[in-house]
Amino acid sequence: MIHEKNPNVLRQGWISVLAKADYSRLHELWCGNESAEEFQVLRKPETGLVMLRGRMGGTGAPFNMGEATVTRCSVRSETGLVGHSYVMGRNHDHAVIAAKLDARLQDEGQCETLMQDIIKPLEKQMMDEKQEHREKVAATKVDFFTMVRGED
Amino acid sequence: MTTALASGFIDPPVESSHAFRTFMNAMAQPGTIQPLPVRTENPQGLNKGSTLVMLTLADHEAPIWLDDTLNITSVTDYLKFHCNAPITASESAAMFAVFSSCPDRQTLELFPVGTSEYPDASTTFVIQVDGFHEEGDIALSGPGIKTVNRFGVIGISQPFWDWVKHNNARFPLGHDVLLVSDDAIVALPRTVRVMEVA
Repeated sequence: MIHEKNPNVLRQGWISVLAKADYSRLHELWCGNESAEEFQVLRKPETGLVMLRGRMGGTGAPFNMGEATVTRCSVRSETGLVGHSYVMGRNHDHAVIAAKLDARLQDEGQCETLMQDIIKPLEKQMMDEKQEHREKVAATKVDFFTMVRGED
Repeated sequence: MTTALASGFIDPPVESSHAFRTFMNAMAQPGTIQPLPVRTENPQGLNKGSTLVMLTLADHEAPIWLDDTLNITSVTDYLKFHCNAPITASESAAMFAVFSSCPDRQTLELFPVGTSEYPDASTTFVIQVDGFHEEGDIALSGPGIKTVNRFGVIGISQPFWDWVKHNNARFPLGHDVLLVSDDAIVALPRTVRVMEVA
């Protein structure tokens, strides 16, 4: 997944994981990796709506599908690193933890440990859940056949 | 990431309401020195007063024009992040123009004064000054002033007051001006008449 042209790929990756993570698990991992670092809140967690857009079949013309509730938050670490987060739903705590982690992950000294201790386990959990869901669905798969109806 | 972003309001609904009320009072009573009700962090370049004006009044529909001193990343990043406001280089598109110091008349004349149908479509000027004092050498009259309001300002040159007279003469068109320091704000709406500058 390493993309030479886009240096943000790594950050995009962890922001995505943090946004989709299960809150209780994230909270647990966060508490286990707390640092004494103080964060200044640049933008308090605030909840709003974003318009979701879709394309029919993934390729058609874009249309507005509906609105989703999103909470965003921005913080600044003592060393001046700015962390942002956008999280679906109204969980302000989730947004704050994700923003703080984004700031800490940009610090090269902490990045590796945090990736190992927080991002990787979250990612694994998400993959496992996805896989489990996939297997459950696959087990009940039904094939439908349409008989030729003979009208041309 | 070279400069860390400064923070905006801690409690936006409450703080922006207090600030808005102050600006309204300043506009209603031209020439009165209104202390800033809220103190926020300010980015390098903007003083406390202009930061407060921008946080309270600027939004995505109000393009901001910045003079050369202020057109730096610390300021533009701050305004984009906290106000969602577009920064414009075009004078004719500007809803707000922010000056780091007293601008000259030629510069001020580049901005739109509004039209007879929409006199509100003029640019509002935010000018950073060094400070104010009561009982100064400037005397103002006009709507909102019972007799004469006197005040003094540090950092504004004599030709500016000639421009204010000229600005008043074209009422209902014209510009509204906010003079801002680190501690206070004074409004000079287009209705204000300069009686004397000693």
